[in-house]
Amino acid sequence: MKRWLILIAGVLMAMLTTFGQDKIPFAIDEKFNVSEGKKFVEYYLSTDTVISPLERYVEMRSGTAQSIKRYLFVTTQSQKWLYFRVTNTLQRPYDMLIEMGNFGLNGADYYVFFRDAIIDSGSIKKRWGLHTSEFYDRNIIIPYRLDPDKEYSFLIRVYTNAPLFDLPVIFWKKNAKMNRSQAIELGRGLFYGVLAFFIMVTGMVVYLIRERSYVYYWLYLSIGALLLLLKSGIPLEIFWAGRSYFDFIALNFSLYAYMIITLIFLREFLSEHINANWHITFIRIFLFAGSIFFIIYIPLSYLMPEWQDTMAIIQTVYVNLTNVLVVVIIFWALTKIQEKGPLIVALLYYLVFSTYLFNPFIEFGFLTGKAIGHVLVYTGGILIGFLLVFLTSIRIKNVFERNQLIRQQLSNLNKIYSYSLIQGQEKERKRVAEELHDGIGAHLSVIKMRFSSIFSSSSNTEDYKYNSILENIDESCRRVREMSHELMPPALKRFGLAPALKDMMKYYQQTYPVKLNFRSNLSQITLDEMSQVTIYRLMHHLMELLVHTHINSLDIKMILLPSVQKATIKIQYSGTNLDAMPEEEVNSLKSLIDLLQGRLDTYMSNIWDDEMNIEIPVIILDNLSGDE
Amino acid sequence: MKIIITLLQIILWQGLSFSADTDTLYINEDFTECKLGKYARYMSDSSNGMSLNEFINITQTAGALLKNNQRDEISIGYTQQQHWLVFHLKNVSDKPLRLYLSLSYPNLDHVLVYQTPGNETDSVKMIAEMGDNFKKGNKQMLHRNYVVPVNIPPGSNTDFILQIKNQWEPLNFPVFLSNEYYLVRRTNNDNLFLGLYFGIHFTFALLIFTLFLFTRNHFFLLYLVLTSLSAINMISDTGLGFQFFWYDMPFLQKILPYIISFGTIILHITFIRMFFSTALHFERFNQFLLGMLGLVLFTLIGLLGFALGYPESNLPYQISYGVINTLYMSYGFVILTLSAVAFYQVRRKEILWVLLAVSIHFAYWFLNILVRGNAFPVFLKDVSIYQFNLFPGHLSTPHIVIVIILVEIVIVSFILSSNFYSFIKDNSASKYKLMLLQRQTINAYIEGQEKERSRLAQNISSQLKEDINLLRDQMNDYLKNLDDPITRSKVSQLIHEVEKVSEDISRITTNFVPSEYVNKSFYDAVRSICQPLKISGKDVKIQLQEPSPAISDFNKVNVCRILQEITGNINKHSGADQVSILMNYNIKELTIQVKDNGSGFDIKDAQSGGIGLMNISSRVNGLNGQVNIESQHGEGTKITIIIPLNELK
Repeated sequence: MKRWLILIAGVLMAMLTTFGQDKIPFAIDEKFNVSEGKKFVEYYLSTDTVISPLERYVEMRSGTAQSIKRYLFVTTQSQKWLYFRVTNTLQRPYDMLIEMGNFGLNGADYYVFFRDAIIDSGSIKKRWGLHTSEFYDRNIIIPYRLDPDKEYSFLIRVYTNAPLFDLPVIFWKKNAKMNRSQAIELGRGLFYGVLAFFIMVTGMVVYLIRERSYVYYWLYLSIGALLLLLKSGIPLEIFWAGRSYFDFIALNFSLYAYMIITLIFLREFLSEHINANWHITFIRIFLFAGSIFFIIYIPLSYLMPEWQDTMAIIQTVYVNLTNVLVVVIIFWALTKIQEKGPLIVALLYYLVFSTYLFNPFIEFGFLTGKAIGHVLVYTGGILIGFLLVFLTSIRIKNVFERNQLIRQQLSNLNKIYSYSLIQGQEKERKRVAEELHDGIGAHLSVIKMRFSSIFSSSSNTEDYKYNSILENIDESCRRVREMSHELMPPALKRFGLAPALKDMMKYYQQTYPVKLNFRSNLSQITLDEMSQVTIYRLMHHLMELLVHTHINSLDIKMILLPSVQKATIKIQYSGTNLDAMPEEEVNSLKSLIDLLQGRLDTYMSNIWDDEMNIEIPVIILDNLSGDE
Repeated sequence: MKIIITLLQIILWQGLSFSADTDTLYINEDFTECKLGKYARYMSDSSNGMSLNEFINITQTAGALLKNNQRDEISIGYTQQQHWLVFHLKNVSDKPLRLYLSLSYPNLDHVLVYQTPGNETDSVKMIAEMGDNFKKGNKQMLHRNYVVPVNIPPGSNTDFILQIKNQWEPLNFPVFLSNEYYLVRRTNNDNLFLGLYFGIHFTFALLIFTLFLFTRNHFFLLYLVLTSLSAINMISDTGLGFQFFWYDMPFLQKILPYIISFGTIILHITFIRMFFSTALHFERFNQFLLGMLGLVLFTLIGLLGFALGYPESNLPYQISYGVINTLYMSYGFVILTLSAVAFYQVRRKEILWVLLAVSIHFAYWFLNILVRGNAFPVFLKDVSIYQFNLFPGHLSTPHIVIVIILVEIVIVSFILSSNFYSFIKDNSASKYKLMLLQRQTINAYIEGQEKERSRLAQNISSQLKEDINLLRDQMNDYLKNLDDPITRSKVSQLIHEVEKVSEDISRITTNFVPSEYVNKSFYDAVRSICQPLKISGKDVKIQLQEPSPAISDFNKVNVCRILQEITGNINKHSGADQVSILMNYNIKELTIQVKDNGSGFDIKDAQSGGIGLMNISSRVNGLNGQVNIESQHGEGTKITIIIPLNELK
């Protein structure tokens, strides 16, 4: 069973890592600054016997020990050895640093051989805190001063409490390391700063909104960042220095928390958008499995150390399967969801973030030991942060634009609302007018024609009754026409508001003894149909009210203001005042203006004249005069 | 606790002076690190021409001429002349020790470091020459401070001598002696936390930038520039800029503080002015702030002129420091007072923000001035921010300034988040309002239609119908007098026509009168609507769930209109001979289903053009209901309407 698991894990990791290469001795020359160690280091694993360094050295020197591929560097109970040879070709002593990744490493013993004898040895135990090491760094660093023109062999034994699938080694010139680490630390700080700020702002918004899916999102972000921080070894260095077991527990805790919260977040996100169940079932299975591992992993590995390897392999398999599941589900969802943008971003974010999280030696960069590797790691991280901020601000922008849109719709609708009552009336009038005119009016004229044709040949055209019937038919026809015209003025329908108002004024001037003066800027403006009808009705109402009281002169000035979408009607009249007018009619005018959400003001403009100011909102489509 | 103590010390204007201990510093193998300030003795060379040998002579013969530094930092003050510093060390172990001497960053223009070999006859040798005026390559270690690796031979006295040449800015810096472990530790932790801070600051600036891009609000632009200026200030102050960005441009490093100081104060005044006038419509201080701006510009021009007029002199820089600091402090006081007055007069929440922001800025400026050196040498000679260690390691990072900036970032972020949240809240509220208004609009439309119908019906029946009835009576009367049978039949035909007209009018009027529905029970009204279908010979099945649901009169009319529209359509267009009408309801909703076997229609065509269908759906929408129409050519039509019952009450 265990062998099987090892095999599976090995195959899985083999897909992700490269195979070992032939090793060559390592020589230091004038130009040397930094070098990746994999080319020079051989890895050995002894699972069965406890063996002394010297015996080990002899085995390696003679070539009888079988070196292994580094991806199988997995079991935690075995002894893990690194071996390499180094020559200082310079004529002066040389300060060298041997650096190994911190993740999963608890410490290392090193033995320096010169001419097959141990000339120096030392031990670096991260478990006891950084202060025990000689060189301050959160990775394990072995400093050694090489004498000129000598060849040394190094044998290093490493201790772990977690599976090691890869153990990169870097050789440094001391000054180069000190210079490089300044930029690296700064970049690391920047990266966590970006994450911290983003998590803070998201946290504030989530605190205010208090919605479940937002809380999951925030947890997903913050636990991911926490896991990344724990893996980088910064807390072990600064916050709980020397308590590596606590670090181990915290790391595993946050790993499972991250997996579980990712799955929950994904489930929430998808169930909002897709109506399907299989992914929910899958996610549920993985959630269940994750929770079980979460509960048993730490106690089991504490109580039964021989199970640690198996558990570590199960954990690795679970984490990788979960990653695959998440990616597969997102890909599947991409085919189902219309709005692909957010999902693609989520996928990218997950892929990049997971690369950071599950790359065991992120501290070493993607290209181990190369400056560009570090630059890639941290610029990449900072870019993710910036991407997050950008997405957030796009969300803010959307909310902001939506706000403006809704407000505009609201104000538009407010305008329409004041018209909708009138619009209902008008529609009814139009319908009835058409029925009267085309149905009943037409019918009556046919009757009249036929009635007169019956008697056209006979001589009783002088007949009183006959004539009165004809007159009556005429009268009815006229009434039908009048009614339908009153309901829908033909001039308004045919020519628009300006000619219709002119017609109206002409009619009143001819019919009533009043001096009438009407001016407007209507000809320069295009109104929408409803506003035309409304103004026409209002003017009709007004004129009916005014001409039936005893006024002598009437001066009307109508100005339409496109900038504020309003019509102002200023009426100066003499001979009477509003109090003298029939109360019912005045009230109905007032209620009409109220209905239109307009304003009516009356006052005395001079000794003789009274003045009425009406202001109503209208919808002006076009301003032909061009000035606002 | 340490924070409180330090703040208290600052507030009480008391220095952290230590007892003089300028004796030799003893070093053994366990040595970790030490601030050398207390071990330093110094003298100023007014002639500017003293040589190294002369200084060594003075230390050996006339030690009394040297002053004790007494503090952790080297704090000499304004420099118009050359300064000499000397530290005594003794390695008491029997091994040579390899240590690092680091001079913390601020603005050392030109320093020469000498090491005496002790009491041997060997000569004094220069181990480093460095300063801002040298290019990056001159640094022995790439570090944002000046770091010199030193070897201290065993068992002997060793002196380190610093020769500080003409200096642009006042001197106030610590000198550290550390072993390798502690040097790396300080450097790493300092860089990590500085990076953390800059990450937060840059992301904040980025957020403000994107907000500006999207809103085009000038507040954001101004604030962005202010934030960026303070970030650049920190980059320059901590020495990061000189280490990573402009290492070959010492002049930029010198001139940057001036650009930042004047840029910040000018933008700050503009920002405050804009805030008062645009956001608060509080114009009272406008002229005053404008005057302030003028004063700043005048000072700037004056200083520039002075600097250009006396390029060789140190004086302008010292004066400019004093002037800029005074300007900042007085501006801070003025704005604090103005905001307090404005708050007293207007009492708006926003002014409190200004007050808060200005207090933060004021503290930031004040501390920045302290950090920069002996800004107020008379009062504050012994106070230094470098004694305040918030993080595990530090060299010259002015941590408290960072903390203040972070506090501002947190507050502004919270304000932005809560504004964002209020937008979200407003959106959902407005959406609800919008929905409500839509329904009100539809209802108003229907109300107008109904009112007009009943008015017109009255008008028509009172005027027109009377006329037509009169006409019919007259014609009947006339008919009696006619003898000719042909004429009679023609006239009686005409009378029939007139009666038809009268019927037409009744049809229009009765169709329109809502009172017909109001007076009848709901189901009776429904049945009477279906009457025309029956008359035209269709097979009509009506199934109504008893008892009739409780519906208000207005909505009774509404539902009847909907039904009338549907049945009218069936009568006119469908050509169906079977119609079934089903009406049932539960606690929540009323369901109406009308089915016919007529010709049907294409829903897409009907939706674009059919006024009747639009009328139905707008009425149903007004009642917050749903319409579902299933129809195909030749396969009849099924219309299902679901209306919530509480809307009908």
